[in-house]
This record gives sequence, structure tokens and C-alpha cells, in this order.
Amino acid sequence: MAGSGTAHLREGQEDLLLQVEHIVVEFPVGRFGTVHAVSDVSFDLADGETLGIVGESGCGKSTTAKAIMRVPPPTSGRIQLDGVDLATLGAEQMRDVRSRLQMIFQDAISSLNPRRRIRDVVAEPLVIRWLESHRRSPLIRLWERYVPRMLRLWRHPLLRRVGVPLLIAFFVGLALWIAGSAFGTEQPDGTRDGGIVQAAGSVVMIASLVGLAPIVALYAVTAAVWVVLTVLLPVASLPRTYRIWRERKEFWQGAEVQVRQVLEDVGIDADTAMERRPHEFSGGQAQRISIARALILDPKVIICDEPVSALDVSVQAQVLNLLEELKAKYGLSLIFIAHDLAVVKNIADRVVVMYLGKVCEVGQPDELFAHPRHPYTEILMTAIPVIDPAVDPRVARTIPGEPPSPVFPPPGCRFCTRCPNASERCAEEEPQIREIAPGQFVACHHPVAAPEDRVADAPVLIG
Amino acid sequence: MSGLETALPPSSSERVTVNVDAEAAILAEAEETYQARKLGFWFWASAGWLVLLVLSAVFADLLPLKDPTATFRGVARDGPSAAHWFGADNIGHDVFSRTIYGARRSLAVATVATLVGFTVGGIVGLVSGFYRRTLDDAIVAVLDIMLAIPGLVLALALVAFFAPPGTASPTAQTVWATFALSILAVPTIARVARAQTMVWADRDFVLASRTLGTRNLRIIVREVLPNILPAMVSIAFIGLAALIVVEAALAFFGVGDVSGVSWGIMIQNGRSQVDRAPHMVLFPALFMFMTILSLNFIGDQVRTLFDVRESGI
Repeated sequence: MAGSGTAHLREGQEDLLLQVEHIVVEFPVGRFGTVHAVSDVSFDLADGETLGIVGESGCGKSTTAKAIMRVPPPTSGRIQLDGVDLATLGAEQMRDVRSRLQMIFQDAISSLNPRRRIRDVVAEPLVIRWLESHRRSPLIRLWERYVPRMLRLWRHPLLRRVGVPLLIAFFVGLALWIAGSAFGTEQPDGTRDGGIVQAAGSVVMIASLVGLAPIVALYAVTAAVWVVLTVLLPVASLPRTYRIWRERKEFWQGAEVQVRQVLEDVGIDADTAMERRPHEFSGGQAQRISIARALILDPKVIICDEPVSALDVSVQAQVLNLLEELKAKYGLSLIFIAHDLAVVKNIADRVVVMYLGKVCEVGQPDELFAHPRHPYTEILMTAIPVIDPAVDPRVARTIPGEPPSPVFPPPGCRFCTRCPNASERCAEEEPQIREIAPGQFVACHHPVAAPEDRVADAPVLIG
Repeated sequence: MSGLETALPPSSSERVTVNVDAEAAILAEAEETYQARKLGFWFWASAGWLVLLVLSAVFADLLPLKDPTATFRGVARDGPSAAHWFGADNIGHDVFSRTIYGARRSLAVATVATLVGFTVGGIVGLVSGFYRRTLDDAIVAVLDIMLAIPGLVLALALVAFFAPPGTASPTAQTVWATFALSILAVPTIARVARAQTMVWADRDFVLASRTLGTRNLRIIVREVLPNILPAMVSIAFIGLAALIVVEAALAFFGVGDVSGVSWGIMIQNGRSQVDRAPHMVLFPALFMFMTILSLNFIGDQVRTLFDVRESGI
């Protein structure tokens, strides 16, 4: 599966809100390794749509979501929201966009600061917007521009690539010099002449110091500028702090009304909840509160990262219904990440199946779940427990093992190591996404046969 | 929980009947939490001792104490008596009065040093643990070097070098002693702050805050700091106890201002007389011991006190 391509994108459709194209997220591991968490994933989200992303743990669903929120930003690729490419926006412009894009998390209690009151937690987005609306002093803006650049400079690979060998050379020179002076021929006056060894040591040391000097100077100067700016910062921001402080009552009056409203909308009694702290709530209530926090800025898109996976089944349904309700009320579009296929089937208008950082299959949930065409999707379907005593769990088709390491993904199709249909071609050539049925896209060389082609007595795998 | 049907019930009631066993379990757990939060006898005994000591040290001038610098005739090296509760030292000073006055210097120097170390170490640890990478590596290297140098030797060297006894003014000596002690406090507190910051900065609520576009300074101050404070306060109490010992040791070795009264100076004066007049060493040492024990007790309790239950279920 595990294919690339953009055949499933609805280019040209009018109401596309979010277009994610070719995003790649990679993290360095160890000295040379790279985790290929997300490799060339594309999808789009229409206005008012719910896009489900499913796949087993570690397939890059959450990383994709976080990349859209730019925590951390994707390694490459385009993320277009209303025609603006988020992937290349500067941190400052990104702040303006964030109010249109919100996220809720799997572990609701952990996503609320245990030391803050619900009032403060839910009002936080408003506070941030309010604080950002006050113009910052030029010095702070200079600091904000300077520090990231300085850090980038400090981490510049060239410095390490040049600096570390020079440092090693210096110590080698030192060792030579010491060896020369310790074991050289003894002179009449009791000193030792290290001869060529000691001389070579001196030359190496001096040469490496000459090379190191500009690097050390660079670090010293940038650090000095940083220290000066940092010390001046609190003084420079005093007028702004004073303006904010003067407005605080007015702001909190307005904020409290909004917090109340949004808490009522998610079904939390504002009067009792506002002054409490997160640990006094159950998982479901905490998830409602974090939904309230996501809603308070009236966003267009909410990314739900496994929002119900950690909840009781009865509470799952309540939270899902709440999301549906709010979607209509607030005019939201959702990206809904889950590994629970039943949940996705109920809530999503379109589903993307992912495996090891690649897209396998895209389609309407009913069609996709009834007639999965990708072998991986099909196997995912059979993993859904069927509540029927007549069904023998041992006959379910499952695949052994775990996904391969994303540090060394298999070449060709990433699913080929576990795929029942795999051929030699799969290990060599990466399948591209293609439309296999109207509205159903699959990235596979050997897709599962369409229902009409199947042998009549083949077991129907999904209910 | 991945059955299709399970996610379906659209109108399951909000009210869930809790069975009796579960309710009992919840009550038992609540009781347990309450017991853990209750501060025991030893906490109050420790706090009481510290309050008493601090108050009497601060208001020593108002208390009917004998002049700590006055020498009384004919009582030198005498043990405890009605006139001199803790006895008198080798030149006839009242040991009780000197023990109370001595607390002033010991507590003041150690407290100021701890506060400075707490602030500097806290900031260093927060920055290091929050930004990680190169900055963290550099800071950790410096902290490791500081931790590798024996504390007492470092403090002695600093004070003896910058404020040599005999030439520097008493004020300069005290200031340098305080500065040396605060340097000792920095790496320990910074280490704790850094480790805690690393734990808390990985939590989802910090990520949630980032997705709002919150600036790092605000994340550090509003999201991380309140969560790491209990551990830092706890270690600060224990550090305060250690610094009282180091302060006494400095005085014992005769660096820092030795013209005044402090527990360390008293112990130093009495050490050669332990066989004839043990009370000269015993009482200041006992006061120091109890103070340090109390601080350690309180340090331990602070953690439990601030430990918020994170899950309601």
C-alpha cells in the first residue's frame, strides 16, 4: 500500500478548505538515522466535511495532524488553508492563522494543565489573542527575529563539521607536543628536545586554533547580543505590560461571557466548573472542556487526534454526538483521527487509511468499509470484533507481526512485507494512488477484487 | 471498544448508576488522599520549631536575653545553671544568648543564599530543560563541572580568595560567604528544575498551548513553572539545611566574618574544650541539628502537600 500520488485530491473543487500536499515529516534519530514518520501524504478537506484518518499505532496519523498545526512543522510539503501555505509561513504570521485551526487531543486530562482553573484553561486562547493584539515593542520584535536566527546559526551543521575536527586536531597536536617533550632526546641543560614530533604538534595546535578562533568569536558575539537584548527586554516591554494590565478587567468581563457560553455549548455546567481544576473531572468531561477550549476562537477546522480512544464506550458516543452537534452549530470541518474503525465509519464523510507514513486507500466510508480494495484495509476490517457467537475468531484473517521500523521503511510498497497479495513488483515499485471505483482510490498493485468479481461463497468480512 | 454497535447508542443517559462496591472504593480512595494530604505531627513540630527559632532570632534584641558579647566573671566553662541556661563558654559568654543570636547569621546567610540559588538555578534549569539541544548540553556541562567540585572546598576557596580573613571588611566577608553558598545551591536546584521541566514540557497541555501560538516565555511561566514549583520548593528546603551546615563549616574554618556570633564560630571555639565543657559545642550543634531535621521534614512534606491528583477516575 503505502503509496504516493495525488489522484484522490479534488483539485478545482470550489469549497476546499484545507489542502495537504506531499507532506513529509522526518525526525533525526541517533547520529545518522531518520524516522520517516510521514512520507508524501496528501489529502484535502472540503468545507463542512469530516475527514477520517485511520491506521494502526505508529502509522503517522498523529504526526500528520501535528504537522498541520506545525508542532513541529513538516519537513517538506504544502499545507494550504484558505489559499495560504502554512508550511512556509513565518512563526508570527502563523499566530494569526492559528485561531482558524484548532486541535483536541487523545488524553483529555493530560491536555489540561492540572494547576490551572477551568476558567483560565478555556479562556487561554482568548488571552493569547488579546495579548497578541497589543503591539510589541521594537526591541522585543528584534529579539524574536534574532533569537531563532541565532539558534539556527548555532546549530548550523557547518560549525559542527568544521569545529569538531578542528577541536580533535587541537588535542592531537597537544598530544604530539606532550609526547615530543616527554620522550625527546635529553639536552645538556636537562630539558628534552621533542624534535619533529613536538614541532608538528605545535604547528597542528596553532593551525587548529586559528581555525577555531572565528567559530568561538561567532558564538561569543551572538551570545553577547542575546544577553544584552534579554536584559533590556523587561524594561522595553513595560509600557505594553502597563497597557495590558489596565485593560485586564474589561477583557475578563468579556472573556467570562464567552467561556460560559462555550462551556454550556459543550454540555458543562459553567457555574460549577469554572473555578475547578482538571483533575476534578472525568475523562469525558475533560474532553468536553478541551473541545470548549478549541471552540472558543470560532475556528474553521478542528483536528481531533483520537478524541474518544481513551474514553468509556458510553462516553465515546456522547462525545461523538457532541462533535456532530457542534459541527453543525459552529460550521466546522473536522479531521478525525482514530484507530477505531466503527467510530470513523459513523462520523466521517471521507476516510483516509494510512500505513507506515503512507496513504493506502481513500474513499467514502460506506463503500470503503463494505468493499475495501486495499489488502491492508481489508485486514483492518477483519480486525473489528464481531459480536456474534457464531463467528469463530480463529478464522479471521489477520497478519502476524508489527509494522516495520519507520527508520528503515521497506522499499517499494511499505506494506509489502506483510501483505498477503505481495509480489516481487511490490518490493521494487511504489504503487501510485489511482481511482479504482468512483470515489474510491487505492495505492496498490494487486488490489482486492471488486465485490461483483468475487466468488459467491467468499465470506463477507464486514458487517 | 471497537465494536460497531458500541459507538452507536445516540442517547445513552448522562446519569450512570454506580454500583455500591465502586462507590465504596471511590470513598476509600478519597479518604486515603485526604490522609496523605493531612500534615502529620512531625510536620507541625518541625514548623513550630522553625517559627520559634526564626522569631526569637529576629526579635532577639527585644527578648530578655543576656548580652551575647558580655563576659561574666567566674562562670567560664560552667555547665547549665539557672543564671546561664546553657552554661557559659571559656571566656564567660552566655551560651544560651549566643545560640539564639547565632541563629541570626546562620539562618540569614543560608536563606539568602538559598533564595539566590533557587532563582538562578530555577531559571537555568527551566531554560535548559525547555529548549534542550545545544543550550541544554552546554548548561549541563557547566552544572556537571560545578557538581564535580567539592562544595565546601569551592566555598572555602572563593571566600578565602576574594575576602581574606583579616584584610576584608566583615560585610565583604559575609557577602562573599553568601555568594559562595548560593553558587553551591545553583547546580542542585537547576538539576531538579531541568529534570522536572523535561517531564512537564512533554505533556499534552504544553502541546495544546503551542497549537494556540503561545510564546515560549508564557508557556514556561504559566504552564511549566506552576507544575515544577513543588519539587523545587522541596529541594530548596533540603538545600537550605545543607547550606546551614556549610555556613557553619566556613565559620569553623575561620573564613567569612568570624568576629560576630554564629553556630559555626561557637562550635569552633568549643571544640578544644569538649572534654571539659561539652555544653559549649552541644547546644549550638543541637540547635543546628534540630533546624536541619525540621527543614528536611518540611521539604518532604511540601511535595505531598502540593501533589495534585491528576486523574479524577
